[in-house]
Amino acid sequence: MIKSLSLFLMLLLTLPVIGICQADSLKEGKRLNVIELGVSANATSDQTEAIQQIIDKASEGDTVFFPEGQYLIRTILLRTGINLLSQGTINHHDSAKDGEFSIEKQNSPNPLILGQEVSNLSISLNGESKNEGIYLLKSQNIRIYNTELTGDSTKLRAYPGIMTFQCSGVEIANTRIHHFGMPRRETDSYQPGTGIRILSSNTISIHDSEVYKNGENGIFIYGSRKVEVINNVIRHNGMSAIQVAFGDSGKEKDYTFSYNILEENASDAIDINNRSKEKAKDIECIIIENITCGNGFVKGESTPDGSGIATLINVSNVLLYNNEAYRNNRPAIYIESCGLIMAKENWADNQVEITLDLEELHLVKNRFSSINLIANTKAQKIKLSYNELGSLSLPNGIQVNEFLVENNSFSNGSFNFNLKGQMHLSANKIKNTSTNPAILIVNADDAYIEDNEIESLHASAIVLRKTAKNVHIIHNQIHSFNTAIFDDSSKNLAVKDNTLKSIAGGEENQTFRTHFPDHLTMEGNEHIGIANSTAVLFVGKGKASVKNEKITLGEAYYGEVEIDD
Amino acid sequence: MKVNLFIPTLNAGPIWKEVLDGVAKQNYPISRLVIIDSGSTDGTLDLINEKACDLIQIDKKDFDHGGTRQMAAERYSDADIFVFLTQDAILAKPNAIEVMVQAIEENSELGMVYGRQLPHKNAKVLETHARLFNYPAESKVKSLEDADRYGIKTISCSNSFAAYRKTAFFEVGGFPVGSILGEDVLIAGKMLLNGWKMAYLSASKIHHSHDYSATEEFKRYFDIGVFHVNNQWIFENFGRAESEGFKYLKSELTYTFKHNPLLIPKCLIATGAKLVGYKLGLNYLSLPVGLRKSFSMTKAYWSRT
Repeated sequence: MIKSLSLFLMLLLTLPVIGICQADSLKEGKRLNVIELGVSANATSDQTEAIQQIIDKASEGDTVFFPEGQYLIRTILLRTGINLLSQGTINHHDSAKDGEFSIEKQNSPNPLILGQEVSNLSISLNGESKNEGIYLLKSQNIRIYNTELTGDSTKLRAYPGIMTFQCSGVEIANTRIHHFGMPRRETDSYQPGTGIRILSSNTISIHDSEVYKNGENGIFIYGSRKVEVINNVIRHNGMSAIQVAFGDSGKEKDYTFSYNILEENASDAIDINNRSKEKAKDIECIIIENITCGNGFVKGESTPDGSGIATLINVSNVLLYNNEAYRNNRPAIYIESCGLIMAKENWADNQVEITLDLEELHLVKNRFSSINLIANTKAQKIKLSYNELGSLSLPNGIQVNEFLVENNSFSNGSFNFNLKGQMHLSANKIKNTSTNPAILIVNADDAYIEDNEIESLHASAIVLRKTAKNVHIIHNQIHSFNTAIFDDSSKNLAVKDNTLKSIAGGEENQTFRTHFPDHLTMEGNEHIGIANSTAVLFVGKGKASVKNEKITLGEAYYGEVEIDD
Repeated sequence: MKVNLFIPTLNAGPIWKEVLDGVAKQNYPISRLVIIDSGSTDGTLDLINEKACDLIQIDKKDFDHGGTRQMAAERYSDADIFVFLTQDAILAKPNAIEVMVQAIEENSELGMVYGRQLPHKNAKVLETHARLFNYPAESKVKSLEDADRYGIKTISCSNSFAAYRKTAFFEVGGFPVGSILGEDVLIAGKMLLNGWKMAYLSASKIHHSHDYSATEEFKRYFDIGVFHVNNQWIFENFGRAESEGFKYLKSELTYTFKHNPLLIPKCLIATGAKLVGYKLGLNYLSLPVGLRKSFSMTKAYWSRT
């Protein structure tokens, strides 16, 4: 790590840069003090016209400045190149028309600030709005910074704090957005009122901001491309901290959600939900170094949601890296019908859930309580490597065409392999404290169990049913209660170079037991059974090849099985 | 000495006109202006006079930082000096190329030279700092002997604006083909190993800078990590310069604090994004193939590999 950090710091300055150039075209201009130009601060009258006149007469690059005080308005219209800077508070006047958010009518008659087809300007203000705080429509290159927008927390169906529609190049920085909408009242329903609503826009950056206590999502992103949400605190909102929804434009791509604190939101920390019927969409999304806590509750009661790191539905090419999740209501990561997903070096106090179709999942160096594949999972490839896990739950009938479980540690490993596909379990440390076998293989074809350390304290380590075939158990260290390996006539079982040691006290104390072996191969295993007991027991008829077996403690009994040595 | 100027393009955008104006104002005669376009659709080619330049058109998917430039240099090799410019680099003064030619003429040991990069007009704080730090006011000639002192920074240079002596260029086999980036650093390394020298010319200036988002920094440094893994030889020959990296970070924070303290978090986040991207790039072989392209700024590279 130190080596790569050093090289990285060196490379900060060594290599050339080739990329997209973004010009900052904000021009320096005059500062226009609204008080000096006839606007009344702290007046009860509507100041809209007086302020608007100043904006309309300003030249590109000018900054319209509001000194301390309160300014009452209906709506201020932005103009291209005219910046707003306020030390005072800009509030809605009573004459501003109030409205209620609906899906059909998502914008109000009087947002506090409205920008339509404007560009190249910055906004910094304190505002209180009964509708939207800032509504940007078809606008470009807008910077909102050092801004505080307060909504109406008594409103049941509120408009968002900031909304962009068909915009590009919008930066929201060092800004607080809160109380747009009433706090969520029910666990099973929610009311509108989003902190920041990004619709059909692109190149949006939201950073170093706080979005809290809004009725619905902290940040909602729909049909948009190239959005980054970085280093924000998004907390106590009535839905997810960040939700990405999909339209039919196909533009949803290139997302970065990183370094955020996502806390106590009523739904997921990050919800990326593509309900399209088409196959999982490649969204090029990186979710890095977020810390999440306590999501998925309303007044202490569970909602149906609340994933800690992310909910991913029908999307592909997502990286989840180095996130931490504590006390969230639902799984740390929920993966449904996804393409290619990688989770690396994450930490959570709960599980990962996987369901329905899955193309390729890589879980590397994570720490989760468990990995649960839900019934109906049909995965092409799952690779678990170097994780610290509690358990791995595999219900009957799932399909994983290529299942690689390598170099993990399981503190409560009790696996039921009743699946279709190729399985490779290697170099894991598996501790089983349950009364079920550590590894039960009911259905598997061409499975490898290699180089594992398995300790099963209250049950057999490995049990193979007749329906399993072509299972290879090679070079494992197995310390087991009852029977270390019990073979119930599985076809073409190969058991080679293992060390099998019994834990005394079980009803059976064999290191290896087979019933009616079906072309069993045993070679080079060491059996450390219990003194004066049968360590290796063959029951019934069948065929087996037995070579170089070392019985260190206990005895071997091959019964009527036809042995080829 | 005859000079051929090469500029690769792809949707060069509004800045392109300024770039061409800068070229037109040069007081040193340019024998050929070679445009290598990867399928622009924004009118980039409308601004060039096809009669006054040589146009090579390639498919976007075939673009390769080293390979494409090499192909162009081989096709139009009828010059003594090959100058390379990028589509977003504006020559700051009419003597920019003349200064390069003069240096190469006067010092027969120079295999390549590269110019000073000033921030674009209206550049933001962080991109301004990057340029001021990496491209100081003093010129410098560097050779293999400097590797002990400067480490890998010895061969720091950029094809955003660089000139190569033809004989040295071909002696080391030109630009490497198939590198994700850093073809300029690689050829400079080969030249120094072959006994040539290189020079940084602070009097030869362009305006060229980038305001990268954290996402773009992540992707760029992912590519740099990949570059590092695939080109170990340059680190083996030129060593390392860790202290320079720390110096850069410290300098960036100081500069940002002075000019816009509000950007300190952005500065640190960008550094965090770079570090994560770089680490993943270093380990790219362990990543699923499908994700490598997603994390990279150089998409075409992954389509080829």
